[in-house]
Amino acid sequence: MKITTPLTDDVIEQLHAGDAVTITGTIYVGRDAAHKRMVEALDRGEPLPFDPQGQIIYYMGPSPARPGKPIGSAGPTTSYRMDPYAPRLMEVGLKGMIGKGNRSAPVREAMQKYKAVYFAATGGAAALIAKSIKEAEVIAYEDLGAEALLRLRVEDFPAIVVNDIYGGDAYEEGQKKYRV
Amino acid sequence: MNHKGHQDGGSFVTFVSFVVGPFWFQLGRVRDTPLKSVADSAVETENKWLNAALAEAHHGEIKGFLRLFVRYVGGTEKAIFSPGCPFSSDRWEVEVREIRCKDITETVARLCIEANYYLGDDVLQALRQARDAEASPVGRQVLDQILENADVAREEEMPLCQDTGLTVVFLEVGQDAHVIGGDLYQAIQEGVRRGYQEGYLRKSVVDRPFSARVNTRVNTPAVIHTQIVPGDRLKITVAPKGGGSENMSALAMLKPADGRQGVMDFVVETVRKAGANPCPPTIVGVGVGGTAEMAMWLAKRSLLREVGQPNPDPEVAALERDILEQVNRLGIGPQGLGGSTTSLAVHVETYPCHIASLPVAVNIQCHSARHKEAVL
Repeated sequence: MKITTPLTDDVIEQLHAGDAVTITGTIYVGRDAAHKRMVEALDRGEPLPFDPQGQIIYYMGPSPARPGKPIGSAGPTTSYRMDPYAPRLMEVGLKGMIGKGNRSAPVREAMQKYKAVYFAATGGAAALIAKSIKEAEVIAYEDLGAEALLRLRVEDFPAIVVNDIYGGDAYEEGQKKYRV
Repeated sequence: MNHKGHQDGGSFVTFVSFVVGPFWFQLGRVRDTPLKSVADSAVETENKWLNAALAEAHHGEIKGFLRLFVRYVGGTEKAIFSPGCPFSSDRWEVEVREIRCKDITETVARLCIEANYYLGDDVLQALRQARDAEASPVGRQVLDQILENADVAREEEMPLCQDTGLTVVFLEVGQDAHVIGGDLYQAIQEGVRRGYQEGYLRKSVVDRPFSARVNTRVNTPAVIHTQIVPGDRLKITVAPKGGGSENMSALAMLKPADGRQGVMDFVVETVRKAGANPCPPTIVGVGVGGTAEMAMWLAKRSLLREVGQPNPDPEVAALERDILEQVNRLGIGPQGLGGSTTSLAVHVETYPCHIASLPVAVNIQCHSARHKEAVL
């Protein structure tokens, strides 16, 4: 299924755990340190560096771009480290997260509550994934180096729906099938 | 060993030392020391261990005094005398080999880049085999992506993974190698800085780990493990380690009564808990025995082995096979999306341990199993 950003509830309602999707449009990139700063900003009553309504955050810290390329290698990082911050961002309108690995129960509950989805990209397929990233720019926290907040334009970014708004979990369901 | 030669103003230079069966041999030369004094000192101070002075016949030709020390180390202390000396200084002198810091830095920089761009043939082969054997269609797709990614990285000279790791460097320093032109560790850190800069590799190291967490911007310091080994070479292995898999490491100080089953259960449970996080299919490094830190070092070092090459000890190799089978029954599969390939291999290394202990360490390696080595 092809989806475009920003995500609407219509689209989100059609997504189910295990679905393979390709994402086209603008997505934002932030990981550990950027999440800490974003939530601290919200706690101080300040706006985020971007409008989170309907947006997707990709948990990623790219390698440096070679001259003439928009970005270096760009695969997902492990998501659970962003669990303490994710519900707060969904509360202000975030609709999607891309990463790898399991999410905590509070995050999965928040996804159902705020109608948001969690996608997995293939960890370690970073050079391949970079091909779907057409533009990249730093929009905040440049001092964090590899952890700066980025805006990307992606075309047919490959991902799999892990957690949908119905409580589905592609990890649990997939693993159950092959456990012997 | 303390030699009287030092006190007499001479110096003792070891050329070769080795152990054969219960015997420890050390061959060396005493420089600038009157022969009589050395001979006397051998009698006075070394008779406890029985170090044999030899090559007296050659003293006219050699610069110093060649001595062979033989010590029985296999049981009760006992000295062995080896009369007669069939060798001359020309045959036995091993010159200390000089290795330049500049070459070390250049080599480390190159290895950092090569390790991050080029997946080893052993890993590629293991992934292809897993692709063919994988039961899950999604799992096969993931493995195809991983294999395609390796091709893209190689062709475009990009890192296989954006997480180019904390750089772990294993050194095997020959005892007859002499590093010149700087400081060995600084030469390595400089190589890491250079490699990560020139290779467009991500800088992933922060200083002040529990507080400020400031990126050092050059990916140093690397973690360096050093072993002194026989010979005059320097072997450098660069193994960048990503955070996702490293974070899934675990250590258990089991009771000796837990035995083989306890070891298996702990390793399998560690892999189960790690789930999708360490980027399966993984290679599971296991260290059993030693002390807490030794067990973890063994686990890490086991990851340098060619993927799936069994431990030479049949008993340990059987443990590896049994753990791998259990791990692949967990169903975690490629990227945790379910499947029959959770791990490509289990590597176990062992070491003797305390009568009270059974340390088990697990260090998980993601499928981007990167390491490159060079010998200087």
